[in-house]
Amino acid sequence: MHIRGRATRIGWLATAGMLLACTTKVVVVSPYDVAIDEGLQDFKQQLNLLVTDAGSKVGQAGQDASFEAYKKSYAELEVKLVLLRQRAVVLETEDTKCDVSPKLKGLVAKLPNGDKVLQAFAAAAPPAGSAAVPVSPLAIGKQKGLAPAVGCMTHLIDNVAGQLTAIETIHSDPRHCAMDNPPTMTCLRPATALGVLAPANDSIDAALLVQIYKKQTEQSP
Amino acid sequence: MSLHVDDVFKKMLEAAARAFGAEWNHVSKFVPAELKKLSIQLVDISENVTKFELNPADGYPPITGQVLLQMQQRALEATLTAVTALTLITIQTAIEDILEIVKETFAGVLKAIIP
Repeated sequence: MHIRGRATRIGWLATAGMLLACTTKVVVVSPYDVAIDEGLQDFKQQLNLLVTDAGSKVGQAGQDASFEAYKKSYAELEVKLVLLRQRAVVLETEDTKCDVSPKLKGLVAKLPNGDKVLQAFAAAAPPAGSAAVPVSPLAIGKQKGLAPAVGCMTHLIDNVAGQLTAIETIHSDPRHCAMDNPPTMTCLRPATALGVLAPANDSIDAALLVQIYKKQTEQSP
Repeated sequence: MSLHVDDVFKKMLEAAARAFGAEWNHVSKFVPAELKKLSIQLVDISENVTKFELNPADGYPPITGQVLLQMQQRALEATLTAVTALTLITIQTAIEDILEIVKETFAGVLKAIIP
């Protein structure tokens, strides 16, 4: 009995020791990554240039503001996001699942008019299958065999991809241009160009904020 | 010096309290500011749809307003995801700080298992 009790204690100590040894390098989130940081900044710059340029050409004589004229630029942006996503997935293999806590969602709902905002969003959501249709074969949302998003950075890059797809949808669908009747032209109206940049930049900034915070945390003593 | 669960736990609690500090206060200041920004965007969408209906050369059609509203929703989701990420980073830093303090406090006993 005495030997058995001692063996149990040794077993517990060994387990506790292994646990402590394993947890000395805790992996909850992946480290700061300069390639993702700079890649997102480049992406933001390119997207802002594209949208501002397309919006400024509408109605200008001799200027082609159609989706076709910008298709190559959109494809380049998509490739950039695919590469950033792949990098994030690899870096975040050991990350804790990035779930928005129910507390946080609850906080939004409890804020003044928070419930109305959430209701407005629910009402605005299109039926399944009719949401933004990617027009480029490289569109992230339509790629098959993508590794599932685990860590927060992959989720944030997917979020940015959703914004890009929405911009492409608006630009490629003549009903959003509505400059002729029946609509056949594609364009980004000047007001639309301004309207899409705000939420798209918010999504990119959210990802950049996480990178900045990681960098600061790692640099602090 | 022997290792006691209560001592370790007490030390961990002290370190955790310092590490997390005003975390929730930070979040509850952050989210209302985001919602205020969002409400400005919602009004802007509504005004542009009205402008289009008055003069099709101005603003944008309602169908665009719908996609823009979805984009605003996605931007809010990104903000909440970023807050989640910041919390996880804080947790990671806190755990590392807690282990460091425990290691320093009980160096003799834990020397063999914490490098």
